[in-house]
Amino acid sequence: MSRRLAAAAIATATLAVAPGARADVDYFKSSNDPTKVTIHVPNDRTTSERLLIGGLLAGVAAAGAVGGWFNWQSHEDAVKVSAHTPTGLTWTSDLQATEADAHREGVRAAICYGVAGAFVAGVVIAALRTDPGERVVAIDPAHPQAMIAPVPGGAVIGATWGF
Amino acid sequence: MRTALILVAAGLGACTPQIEAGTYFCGADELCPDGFTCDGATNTCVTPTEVTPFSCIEGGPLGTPTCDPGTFASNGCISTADAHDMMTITTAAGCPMDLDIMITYPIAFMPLEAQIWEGTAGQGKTQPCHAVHAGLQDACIVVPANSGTTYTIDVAGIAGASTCGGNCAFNRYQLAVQVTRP
Repeated sequence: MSRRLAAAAIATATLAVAPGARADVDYFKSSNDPTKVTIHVPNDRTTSERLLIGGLLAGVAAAGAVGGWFNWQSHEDAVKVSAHTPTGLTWTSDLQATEADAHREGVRAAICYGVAGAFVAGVVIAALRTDPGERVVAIDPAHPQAMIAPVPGGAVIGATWGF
Repeated sequence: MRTALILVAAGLGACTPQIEAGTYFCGADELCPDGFTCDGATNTCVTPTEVTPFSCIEGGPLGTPTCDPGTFASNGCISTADAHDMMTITTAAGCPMDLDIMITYPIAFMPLEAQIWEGTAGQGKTQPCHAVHAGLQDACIVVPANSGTTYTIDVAGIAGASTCGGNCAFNRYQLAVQVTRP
């Protein structure tokens, strides 16, 4: 159950962090001044904000790795005692201990995955709350440079600005 | 990619031991995996709904040895902590032999031993002689036997041995007597 929650949280975090087209931006809206060229430039996060998100991501990795290790140990112990056909073996205290280890390490793995999931939630929250927004930069159209590029069957005509 | 994800998910998910009923013999004191109970009839670990009570069939008497080597077998039951099950074997006249006596019993229930008597004289007790195999313990003794003499094999629970807190104060056994020339 915790693994499913962790996977869902990771998927949510991936969607939240991944850059993409914003639905609230009309990229084709005509400007009041047709001679003015503006672009939207995303702002940068501060160093402390980056450290915060990086630390949380490190927490996700660490807790996930420890959880994975416990998960693997649990799996190995479970395989040692699992049986679907008669083994001819006698159940001993050693096998009992191995079975108990499998259960205990499975619980530890689940706890670690839960912690990793909490870190993922932290990453999502931190990413949303430290969203630096964007700024609008106007491009001076006073000195555009014409550009003509020949292409098969014609040419592309355009202009470049510096900013 | 999907296959890899399925494999990873299967690997991560297989943390709980998967044990089917009847795949292990019960250990000492009816020891079984969590969620299983020792079956009285088969001394294997089964689910509580499959468990059957202890059962045992008393065997017939041992045969009569001749001066030739031979093997004689029977089986018996010990139904309480202080019960004794007696069998006798009489060696042939004129030929002293060795009696190689072995009892085999499930370790799940009360541990057993056999004491050998010549009349009222004790000749010794069996001792565990092989590693546990298929949930069974062997206990052996070799007794030099006089010719034309009757020996009593007295099988009982080992004094002071565990009986699962009184819940497994019973057992069944197989008895094998190998008569050999010294």
